[in-house]
Amino acid sequence: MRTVITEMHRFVFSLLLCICMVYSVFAQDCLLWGTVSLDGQKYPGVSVGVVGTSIGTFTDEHGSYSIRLNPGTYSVEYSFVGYESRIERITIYTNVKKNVTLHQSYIELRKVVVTSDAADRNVSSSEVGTQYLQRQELKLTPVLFGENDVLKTIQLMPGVKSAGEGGGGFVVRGGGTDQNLLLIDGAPVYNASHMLGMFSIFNGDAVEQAKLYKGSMPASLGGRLSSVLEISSVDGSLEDYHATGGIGLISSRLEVDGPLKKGKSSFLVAARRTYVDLFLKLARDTAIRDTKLNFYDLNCKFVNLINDKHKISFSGYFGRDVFKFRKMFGTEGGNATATLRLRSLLGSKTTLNSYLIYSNFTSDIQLNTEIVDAHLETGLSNLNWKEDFSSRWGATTLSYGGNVGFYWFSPGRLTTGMLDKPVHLSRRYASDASLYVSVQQDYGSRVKLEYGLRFSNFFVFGPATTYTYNEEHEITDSVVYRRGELVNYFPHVEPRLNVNVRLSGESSLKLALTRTTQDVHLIQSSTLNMPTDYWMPSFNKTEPQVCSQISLGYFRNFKENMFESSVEVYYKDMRNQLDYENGTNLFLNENLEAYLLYGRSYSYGLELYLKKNVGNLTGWISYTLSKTEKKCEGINNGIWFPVRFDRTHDLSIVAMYDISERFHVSATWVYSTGDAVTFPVGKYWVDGEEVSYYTERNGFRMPAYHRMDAGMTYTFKKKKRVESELAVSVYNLYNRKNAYMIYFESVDEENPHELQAIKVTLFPLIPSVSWNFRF
Amino acid sequence: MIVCALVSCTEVMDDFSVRTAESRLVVDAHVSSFTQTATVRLSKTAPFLNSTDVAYVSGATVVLYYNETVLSLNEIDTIPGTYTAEAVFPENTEYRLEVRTADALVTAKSYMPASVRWDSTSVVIPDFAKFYTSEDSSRLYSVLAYMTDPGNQTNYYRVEGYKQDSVKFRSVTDDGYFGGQSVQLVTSVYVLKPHDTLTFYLKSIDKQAYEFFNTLETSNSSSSFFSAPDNPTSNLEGDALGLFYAYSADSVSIVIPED
Repeated sequence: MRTVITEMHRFVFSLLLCICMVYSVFAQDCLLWGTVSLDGQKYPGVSVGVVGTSIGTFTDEHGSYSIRLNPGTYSVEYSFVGYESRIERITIYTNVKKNVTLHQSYIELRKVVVTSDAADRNVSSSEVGTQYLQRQELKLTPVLFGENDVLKTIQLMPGVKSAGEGGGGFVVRGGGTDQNLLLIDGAPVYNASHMLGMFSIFNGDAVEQAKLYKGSMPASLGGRLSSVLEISSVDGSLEDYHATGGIGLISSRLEVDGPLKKGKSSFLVAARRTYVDLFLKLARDTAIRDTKLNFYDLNCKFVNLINDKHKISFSGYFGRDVFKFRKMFGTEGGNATATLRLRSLLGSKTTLNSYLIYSNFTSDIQLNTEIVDAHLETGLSNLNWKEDFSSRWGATTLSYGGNVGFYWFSPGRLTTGMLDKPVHLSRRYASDASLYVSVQQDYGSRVKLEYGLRFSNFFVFGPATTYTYNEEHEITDSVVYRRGELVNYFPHVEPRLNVNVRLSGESSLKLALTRTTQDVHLIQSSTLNMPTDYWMPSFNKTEPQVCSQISLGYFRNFKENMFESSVEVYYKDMRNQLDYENGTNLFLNENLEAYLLYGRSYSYGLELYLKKNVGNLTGWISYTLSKTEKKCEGINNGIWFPVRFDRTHDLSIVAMYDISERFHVSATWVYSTGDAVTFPVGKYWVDGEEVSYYTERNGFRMPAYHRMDAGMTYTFKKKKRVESELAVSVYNLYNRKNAYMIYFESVDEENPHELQAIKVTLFPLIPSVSWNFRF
Repeated sequence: MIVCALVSCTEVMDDFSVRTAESRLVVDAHVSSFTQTATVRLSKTAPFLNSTDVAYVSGATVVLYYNETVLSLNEIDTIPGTYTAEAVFPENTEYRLEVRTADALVTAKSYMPASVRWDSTSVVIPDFAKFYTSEDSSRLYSVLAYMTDPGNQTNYYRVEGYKQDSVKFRSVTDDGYFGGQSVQLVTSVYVLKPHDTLTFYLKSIDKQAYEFFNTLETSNSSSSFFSAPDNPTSNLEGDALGLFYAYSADSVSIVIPED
């Protein structure tokens, strides 16, 4: 094994050497370069395009851009979401630096927003399987209870599937719900849902952009198998004070931002709270009146431009779910994250982003009755230090950096008066360190190549005890490790390769190869987000999950990027997929490793995407045809079986229509093949108990799922500085009774052995209304 | 889940059907020092949705082996497919069952541990009982039963609760959380009336029986949120479904008092 790793290292370093030798190819054109500021803030994703041509680019995360042009005179358009576009006449005979500032335009916000993504980024970038979601797309899509929800909107994208109606969990290209890395300003979030998955923790007012990597995550990111969802929070304005908010049926929210020192520093604070429990105060019964059922979250961000070359920001998130029924039962838990980021320009070619990141997730359940008193605590804390360098020479960008992280896992501690002493699972202590290098390079005007390598190592430290088990799951040996002593380590080498071949000005063919690994695993007792779920690291017998993926895509835009379309195919091979022996107790089981099973999954699919970016009617259609199967010794007789979310067909249609400047309507329609489920094919009786008889895992299908949601927004006339709108949405417009679960019960008491199937449907037609304002 | 409960509804699926698998032999067997009986029921699996006609297997040869004893079980004339024998079955003993039918040979082993006794019981009216209303004198009661685990080894228990003769409660546990400790093992809430009688059985079983009942409890339902459905883990060898288990037991009865 060590020999294989050594050989792999040699190969990797040889490859790195080749990369360094190769990327000294430069074109001979003139370079137009500079930065674009939005009200004084440097911003990524600003479109820079040469009018009348297909030449264009986007600013990077430091607001910088560069375009290679032949000598001549050009009209260059700079545009971004909600900001007035600007066209500059530029004559270029040598390298020219051009810095531009754009200003916000509220009146045209919606139109500008929808056109913001209209340039040919999807065609020109080397990214494959990457989806962007802008703030306004998020706001215009109708969702459950009228709460703008990035996780639910992202489920309307190709290759992304919901993990259950109303839930925020999602699966990407056949992966698991725990195989998605969710980052808010770089900080990992370990439970992205409020109220068992009903709402995501991401407040729409504080979200600037969501970017989902499902096919080829960059070398700078890793740690999860299937995808990375990067959520960027909004910077407060450096120029003016603003307040945005909304009052809805079940929640209200308020966001305030503005300069701390004009043009120099800004703040943003966004808060949200549900108030279902406030209605309970109207109840006659004191027990119900005293019940607490709510969630709240708080986002904040502070930005300071130290000077032209340094910018420091702090962003934080704190959220809690609270349910308390008198003093008898209660759950409380949530996430807290903090990101301190320093961005520095090192000379004219290199930028450095330094991050110090903290993330914490806790869950607490209390039961306190005359018969049972119990207190269960679980949690995970994570501290990260990360350095990202980016250097640009002409058409070549070199990104490199590293990361060191520490993890404290608290898988569970149960205190109860029923037992003499508490039951607790051993805490786990782990660390990861990674180095990465990535090169993005244009070979002429037709070929764009991005290749990189990520090397990481995951360490598990003591204090810990490892066990050896026999076939009966009995402990036969143990090794005790002292505090700080190395228990195990898991090195990973993850290559990345993206190739973009520009077939014409409006089309390209892309290829991506990627390998990802995962060393933190969610021990999930159910398909819902339960407070009893907990995270555990790779350990003694818990092996890292590994995935290899190949994606191929054809991207084509029409009518000057009015329409963008793509056809992507992918194949994923996933190893070490965790499962458990039948009947394994996942709750506070110190010897869970004895019951682990390792399976292999594969997934392949075809993803079609057509989006209309401009005009009164905008929206998109996404369709996924896919298959995902799993094989695991000890399950289904070791034969391949479809995973639960193996939905052959998955279709989403999203349409947004501007009836007038002030009146907008939108609708979504989703359809998918029913989940793969296991039903009994016979029954028998043992000791008086009825026993269901199964012959295969997931051999049946739930009924197909489809649903339409609709929404409309009326924007009132602006009074002084105040803009407001009334938003009405309807979830499940035609009241489709989709099956959430099927169970069986006797037809009648006199004939207990004759059963009928009962379908549980979750959400009927649910209207919602909210009043939103901004000033 | 709370919100789900508030907005969800149910509907009978008239067009639902599942295929029926080829029927298989089922062995439902136990031997007990508490009842001093050994009982084996032989049948075939039935269609899942409509199993009004269960096929029983008659004419089999059923033999029980323990220590130096070989005991044949005889089929009851009036109950086809049911084979029984009575004896003083010793605890701390391994039992082996052999079943021969016209086309199958099924064997199984089970160890009968020493019995563990209940310590005490009590009845409590929980605080939340006021949320239950009834036209008669029924109300919610919490019935508590306590035992002390011997602690000398890993022990496995199956607990059954009966109101009069109908089963109210079944559960299975090992002593992983309370080895050697006193523990409140039954904490169930029932709708009962004064003078109702509840009887709890504490069956001491072996690991294989525990695994069968545990997997039956946790994994056998097709509508569980908590696990993928599967067949319970059987200790039978041969082409058959079911379980053979030996158990010792203790019982305790509680009469619900007047308020």
